[in-house]
Amino acid sequence: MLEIRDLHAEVEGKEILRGVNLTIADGEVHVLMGPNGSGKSTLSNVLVGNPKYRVTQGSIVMDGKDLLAMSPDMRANEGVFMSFQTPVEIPGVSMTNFLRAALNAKRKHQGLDPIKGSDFLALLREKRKIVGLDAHFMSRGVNEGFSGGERKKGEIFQMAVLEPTFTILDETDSGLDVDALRTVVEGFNVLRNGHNSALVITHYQRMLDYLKPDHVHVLMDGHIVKEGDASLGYTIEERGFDWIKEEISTQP
Amino acid sequence: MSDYTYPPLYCNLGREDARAVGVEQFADFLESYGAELDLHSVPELAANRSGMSNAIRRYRRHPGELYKYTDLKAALTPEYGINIHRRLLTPNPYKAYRCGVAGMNAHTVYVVNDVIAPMAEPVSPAADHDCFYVGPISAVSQAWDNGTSMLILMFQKYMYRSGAFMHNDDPITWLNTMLRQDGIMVYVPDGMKLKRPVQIVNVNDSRTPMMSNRLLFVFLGHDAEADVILCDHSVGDTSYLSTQQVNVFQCYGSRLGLYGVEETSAQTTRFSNFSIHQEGGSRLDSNLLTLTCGLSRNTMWVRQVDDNVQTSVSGAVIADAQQHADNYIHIIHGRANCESEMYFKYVMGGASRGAFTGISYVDRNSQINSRQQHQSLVVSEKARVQSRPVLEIYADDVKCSHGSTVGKLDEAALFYMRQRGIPEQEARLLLQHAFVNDVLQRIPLEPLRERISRLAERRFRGDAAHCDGCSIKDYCQ
Repeated sequence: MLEIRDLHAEVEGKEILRGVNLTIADGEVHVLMGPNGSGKSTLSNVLVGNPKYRVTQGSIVMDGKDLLAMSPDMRANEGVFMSFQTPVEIPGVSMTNFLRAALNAKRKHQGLDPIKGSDFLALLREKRKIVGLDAHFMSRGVNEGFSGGERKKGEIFQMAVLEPTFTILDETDSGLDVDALRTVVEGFNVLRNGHNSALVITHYQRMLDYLKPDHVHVLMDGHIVKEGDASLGYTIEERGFDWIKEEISTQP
Repeated sequence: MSDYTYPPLYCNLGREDARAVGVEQFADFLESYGAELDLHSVPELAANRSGMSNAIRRYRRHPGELYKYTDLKAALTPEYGINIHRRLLTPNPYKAYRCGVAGMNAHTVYVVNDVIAPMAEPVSPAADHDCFYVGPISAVSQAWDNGTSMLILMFQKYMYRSGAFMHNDDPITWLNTMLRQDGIMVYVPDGMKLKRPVQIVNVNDSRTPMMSNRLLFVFLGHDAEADVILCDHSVGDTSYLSTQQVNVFQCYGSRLGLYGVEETSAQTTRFSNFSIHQEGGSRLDSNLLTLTCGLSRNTMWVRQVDDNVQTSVSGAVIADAQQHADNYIHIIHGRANCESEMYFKYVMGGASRGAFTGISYVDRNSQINSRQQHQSLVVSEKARVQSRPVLEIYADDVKCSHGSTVGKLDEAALFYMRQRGIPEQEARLLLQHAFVNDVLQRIPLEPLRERISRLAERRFRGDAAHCDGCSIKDYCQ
């Protein structure tokens, strides 16, 4: 269970989030939509503790724990995972070493011993199949020389290895062709288990088709201004955001 | 140790009545102790002491461009002793230190301060020049062939035919030439491809401040191949000053891998000068890694002769605290189809100081391809790095490039790693290790490459960088 209450946040002194309230129950998939600059990526960065963003007010509680009091790595080890909009390249750090360090950090946090080398390699083999990532990506630097599609597959692959309880997909569909999108989202759906939840930021109906979200939220000017089920997403695809703006302006 | 039941016989250099400070004090020393120094020296090496002494006396306070970023005068001012009677202060360094490269099965020579320990697998210099030799220069000097010292024959065969072999404008070379008493020779005859690398382990080990002066000759015959690993260590927190002169002669078509790994102490001042002569068709792959040091300076002069010469000089520095590391590389290019590459990476933390000078000299008759790259990560506020690429080109048909970058850790990459649960310190370590690792990956000998990569990782973790199974660390407590 993730509960966001009256969340205010700023970046470089400019307030972007102005009182966000959102509750995501275990096993649910929520979609966050909104026009450019409305604060969607700010919300996701605040959730994962990006130091560029400063929270000025409000709370984020996950499974009873104060997320805002935790470092980014602590949050990750508590089960928060973000699929980045533009995953960075890390030349010289192989995907294998990177994921081993990440998985062992999580296991240490859970009081477990580091994973055995052979078990880890078997795990990588198994999880690669979910998104169809070739073995040679494992020895290359993280995202180094990956195409846009390969990077997004890589993000879901990492998610599969780390098995988070709460996942943020930040415009994972952007820049993907139809086939790649299907592979990525089908991979994501395979990993849903009824307990883990997700917040998905998207502009497109295709994601709604694949994900079948439980809730859709609309973020404008740093607030959640409208909420509904998947049909809200389809209406936005058809009519855009202007009708919501008008609806807000006519409210007393 | 038993040797310490009576003090090692050494003479103080920085005497109270010294007429000058800096390099000139060594000339004073020679005046007082020259005869005794000669008595315990290889005769051929003692021949030119006075010439060097005169050069040092002429040398004035301003060291010019050569030591622009390293204060030579300050480095040479403190008092040190010299083990003038050549006592081996550690009776069995092979057992005491056990520094070996796992899986390398190297021909290993231990040098304690500048005294060469008896080798575990002694090799005798052969009169017919057809056998591989690694061992003390003194043994070559004492071997005779038709009334002439083998050492003189070696000099005649290799050194004398290259007029400009030695670079003689460096006060450290003068100092080394003036004070050295013995050294090591590595000789690989024509056509021999040495299967096992040669590893020379230099250990500074003394209870009193000690200066050591080592010489290394590497002679590679036509089409010969060899790999030479130079390791530098220091034991304890004694102050050490070491100078090392490495003279390499590569005949036509030869290939040399030359690797240096320094894991000394904050109290160690170390100068290592390389003069490398490469004939046509030869190839040099060099990698110089500074893991821990006090003040460290590598000066490498490479002279390519004729056509089709390839030179690759790479290196990395990992520095923190007050460490000072300076690499000065000067390549004089050959004629047609010659190539050279300099590739250095530094990670500077604490209040460390780093410097790099890369000079590519291209004669008017040259047709060459030269690349030069120096990249630094500065990971603390107080660390500083100086980078000086120099291209001196007199020819038209050449390709020369150079690049120099100084930056911080990639914050976006750092955050990405932390988002995956990797603690900040571990993430920084992985990024820094990745930064230097592509320099280390250029080492073609796999066991050495893996070992050095592990050493670098340990160094970033803040552990003392020591090889697996090495007991030098036990002596460092």
